[in-house]
Amino acid sequence: MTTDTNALVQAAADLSNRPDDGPLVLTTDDAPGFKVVRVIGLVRGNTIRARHVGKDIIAAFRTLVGGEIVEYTKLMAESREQSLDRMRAEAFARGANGILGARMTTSTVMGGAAEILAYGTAVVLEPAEH
Amino acid sequence: MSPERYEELLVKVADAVAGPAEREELMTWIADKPDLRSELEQHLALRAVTDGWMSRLEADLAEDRARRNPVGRALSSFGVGLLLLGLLILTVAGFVLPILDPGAPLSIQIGMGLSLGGFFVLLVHVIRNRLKTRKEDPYRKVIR
Repeated sequence: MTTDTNALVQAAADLSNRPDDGPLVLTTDDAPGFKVVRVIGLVRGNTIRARHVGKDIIAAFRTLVGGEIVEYTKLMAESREQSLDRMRAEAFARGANGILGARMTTSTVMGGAAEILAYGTAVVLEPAEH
Repeated sequence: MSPERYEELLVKVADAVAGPAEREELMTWIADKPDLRSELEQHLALRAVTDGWMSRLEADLAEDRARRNPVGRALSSFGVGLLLLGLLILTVAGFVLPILDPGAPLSIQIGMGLSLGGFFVLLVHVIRNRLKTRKEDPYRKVIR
């Protein structure tokens, strides 16, 4: 990957806000290279966030002309990261170092707000012996 | 042609790194083999999709930069400010006019007065709260 391409995908992925420590969060039911030594149970984190009314107004105007509604893209991203952090926090507090089968779901509580619920199974993982 | 040579040429042509001689060698080999021609077409189609992905990312980020333009941001803040100020004046007027109307029943005047007071108390409360916590909100920096 060239430097330009690397910079491009780094910027597009917005990796600066993705934690690379804390419990390992996987959507799979197992973790290749690890063995599950203890299952702790369900962990979850949720949030409901909104942007301020000014952003809602701009977003409403964007629907007149189409295209991405960046105000709400950011809203959903903030909610997603916060709910994932809360799920990780619960797993960590309960002694887990991994979360398997992680999922996210959303629902509508009120217009202009984003609710995200992240959940998964907290486990204790150890490197598998070869 | 051996299967290994075929695979090597297929990957090179699909990745657009094959030389003219290698390309010619592959095309000659698959000329009378419709299943292999179809396989190459599928690889080329996939390549076209992944190449398009990168240029779409570039366009996406260019759009992002355009949105961060200070003049555009100032203009949208100004527009929102005007709109909110107008709505606030209309809201307050909607409450205040019945209160000041000498012909309005006392119950309406008291109800409107209490509602207006409650509106401002709650507004000040949520604004104060947000101003206190806004700077510490770690999710403000999340973009997408």
